[in-house]
Amino acid sequence: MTRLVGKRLLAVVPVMLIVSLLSFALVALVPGDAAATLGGPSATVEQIAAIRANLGLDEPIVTRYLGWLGHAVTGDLGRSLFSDQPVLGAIGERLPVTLTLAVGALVVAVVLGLPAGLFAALNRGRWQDRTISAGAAGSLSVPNYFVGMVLIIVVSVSFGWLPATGYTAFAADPAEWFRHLVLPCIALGLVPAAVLARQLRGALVGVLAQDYMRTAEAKGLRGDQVLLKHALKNAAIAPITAVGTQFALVLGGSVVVEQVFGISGLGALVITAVQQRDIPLIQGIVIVAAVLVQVVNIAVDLSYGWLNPRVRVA
Amino acid sequence: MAPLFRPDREPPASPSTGVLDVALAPILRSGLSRRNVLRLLAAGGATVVGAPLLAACGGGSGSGAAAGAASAPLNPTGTLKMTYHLAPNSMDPIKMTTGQFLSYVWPMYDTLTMIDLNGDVQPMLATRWDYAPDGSALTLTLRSDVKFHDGTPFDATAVKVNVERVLGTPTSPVRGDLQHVTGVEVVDPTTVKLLLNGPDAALPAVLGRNSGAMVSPKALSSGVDLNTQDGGSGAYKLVDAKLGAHAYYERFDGYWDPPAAAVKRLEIDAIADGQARLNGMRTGAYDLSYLTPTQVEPAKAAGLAIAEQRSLWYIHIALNWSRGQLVDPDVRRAIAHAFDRDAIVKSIYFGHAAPASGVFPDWYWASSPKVPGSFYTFDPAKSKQLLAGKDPVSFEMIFPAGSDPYPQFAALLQQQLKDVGITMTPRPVDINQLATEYSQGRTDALLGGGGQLPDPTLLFRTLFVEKAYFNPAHQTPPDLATAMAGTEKSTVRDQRVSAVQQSVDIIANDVLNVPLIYPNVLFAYKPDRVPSYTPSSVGAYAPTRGVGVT
Repeated sequence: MTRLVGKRLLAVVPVMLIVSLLSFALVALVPGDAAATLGGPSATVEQIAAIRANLGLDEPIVTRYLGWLGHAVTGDLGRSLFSDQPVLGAIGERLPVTLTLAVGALVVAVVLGLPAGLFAALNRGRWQDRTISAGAAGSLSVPNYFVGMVLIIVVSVSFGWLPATGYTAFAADPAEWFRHLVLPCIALGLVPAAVLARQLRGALVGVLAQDYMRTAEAKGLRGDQVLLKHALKNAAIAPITAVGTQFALVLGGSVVVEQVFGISGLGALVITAVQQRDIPLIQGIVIVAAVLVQVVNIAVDLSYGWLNPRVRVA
Repeated sequence: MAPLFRPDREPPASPSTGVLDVALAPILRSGLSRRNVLRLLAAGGATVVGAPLLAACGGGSGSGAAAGAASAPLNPTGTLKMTYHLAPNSMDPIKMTTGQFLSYVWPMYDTLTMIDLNGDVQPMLATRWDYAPDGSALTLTLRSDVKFHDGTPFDATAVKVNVERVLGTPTSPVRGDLQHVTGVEVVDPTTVKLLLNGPDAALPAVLGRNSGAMVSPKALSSGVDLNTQDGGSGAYKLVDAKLGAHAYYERFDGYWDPPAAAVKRLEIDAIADGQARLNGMRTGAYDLSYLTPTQVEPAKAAGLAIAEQRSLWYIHIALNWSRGQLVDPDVRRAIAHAFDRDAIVKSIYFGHAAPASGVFPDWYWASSPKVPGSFYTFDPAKSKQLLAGKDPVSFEMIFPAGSDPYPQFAALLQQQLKDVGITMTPRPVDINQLATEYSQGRTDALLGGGGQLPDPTLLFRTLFVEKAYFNPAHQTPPDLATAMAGTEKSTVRDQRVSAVQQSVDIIANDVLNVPLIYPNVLFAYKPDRVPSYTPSSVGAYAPTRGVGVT
């Protein structure tokens, strides 16, 4: 297991280098000028040129990237061009909000998706199965912002049950924290729920048809024992893989959902950073998001080893 | 200093379909109108396909707030919760990149002068200001009863420290505002002299903005991080700031003007999405919110009061008059006469705007009687006459991509120009590339916003002086240069008026830009919580001084 972890961690290094290089190049190649924004409307051409030089924005892209990388490997992701805040500090302020949203969405996905997939698999070919499949297809087809808007109209505006905008920190008021999270997490969690339901249903249907399942039943095990001990564990790899991939999608989806619900998380920060061409901040957010996705992927890989000893050996 | 190219952002009207009616039926039965439901849903679409930040809008004529005023007395221990469309990049006034961020400055920092609701300069920390006869200095007389939040007394030395801080920060977005200031001389604790390299009539107005916001010298010397921490002497102390998200303030009990802090706590949440702001108002999360024109009716339907104010804000086509066929003044005049501004006001701004021909609205002291809003009448025949015998005219115009109402706006302008035989090719551009694209001469014209400045000279410096970043022609007609210089040199308003009006006349006659409308500034407020609210007539700012709750 230690070797597996070590290999996975080593694989992260080139991935992070490629991610950082690509994002740096993309931002640099896209037209736009942070110096013009920083200079303000009353700046003269000379003042903007001075700002550009002061920030090093007039240096070749390779020089800028290597300079950034040299600091990044020491844990210094630089400072925002616009707020002068340390990039890690700015991300640290927003990350808990977005992570809470993402984890909450995955909780919604697990709570809705796994029972639905299980129920559909156990009723394969019946109306329950078809209904759940249709529901999952519907969830996959509807954009999360649309779900969010409908939830706001119905739940918040019409009935006033839950807040429509904003976010309250857990430390400030746990009850309000929960109330503010419910709708955005549902909006963000429906698509992963559908994916989980479909993945589990498909995997479970396959496992239930295996000979060893009949053997387990034939030797007298109770139905729930057969399901939990033999079927679910063997069918779990597909949905767990789905959770890993869905985490990245949920992080991306939070950009839109945060806008709809007026939540100031990492999504809102990245939009501002991109619009302002705040290169250090964009780089920082991309790197942190990539690290998060890598961590989840490693966790998923490790779970394979737990679920299937053959993976550990491989 | 206002953002030149802040797009309005509002969901586009959605088409009506029978299927949609059926799908929305349960929601419609809940009491929301079909139109409002569609608007809410459309906003989600706009969120995805459009630039999801930066909303700024206006509309309609009229003024004041007072509709539905609450009868209950003000609650001095109450909290005013406001949502605004812009989030500051820093809470340090001299690092702010956009003029409207002053909405976050005013609660915590006092400025040397104050811009009143009509855009006029009034005393604040400076009770009077006098120019030297030769314009070589501006002497400020200061209040003696002011303390910063950290207990440091405010005096002439504090002014010197602050002005020198701006002068010593060449990368500050507001450095150019003090371009004529060369130094500061402390005369006595309540008198300070700004040394000038020439007369600058705009200086009193400038001192009511970021450059005039006074930071405690103690905070500066002790390294307080002004990006997120308090350093002012204003009516409220900053207690919690998360950049891009919110700024929360609490009353400063030692304030020299107690009624200015009408609530115990002031909370400003930055929410870029217009529909999210309106939802927050509908559900009671906020007392006061910035509003866009298409939200006026939904806000009224939700029982909110509307505060609407005419302003110095305009939407125009900035023309690079050194490029292609736009070099010809007759071509520019033909363009200016091609637009039906009344139709634009009705169809794009829902009546919450006024037609514009000059850079200043008729009610403002700097406007010219020779350039009323109707100066460029909708006259297709005249446009065609001006173009007679010329090669077919075509030009490109950039506009903020995906930011309502600019796409619709550009399409309407394209059609109106086509009707007089001009081919205009609209090109959507990311909002933060607009300025660069235009100022570096890579396009012919730009559709965007401007104005929102409390002094005409500041506007001229931004758009029309030779070295202005937003003057891609990098030249100025000699008569205009002379007139604009006159607006700086005449330090008495009555004497300035003729120079300002002369400048306005030249700009309009030469069609150096094509003003289209003056949007009104709109806010929604809860009438049972906020007795009244009056927006600034300078632009889409959010003044909170003296605003109370019941």
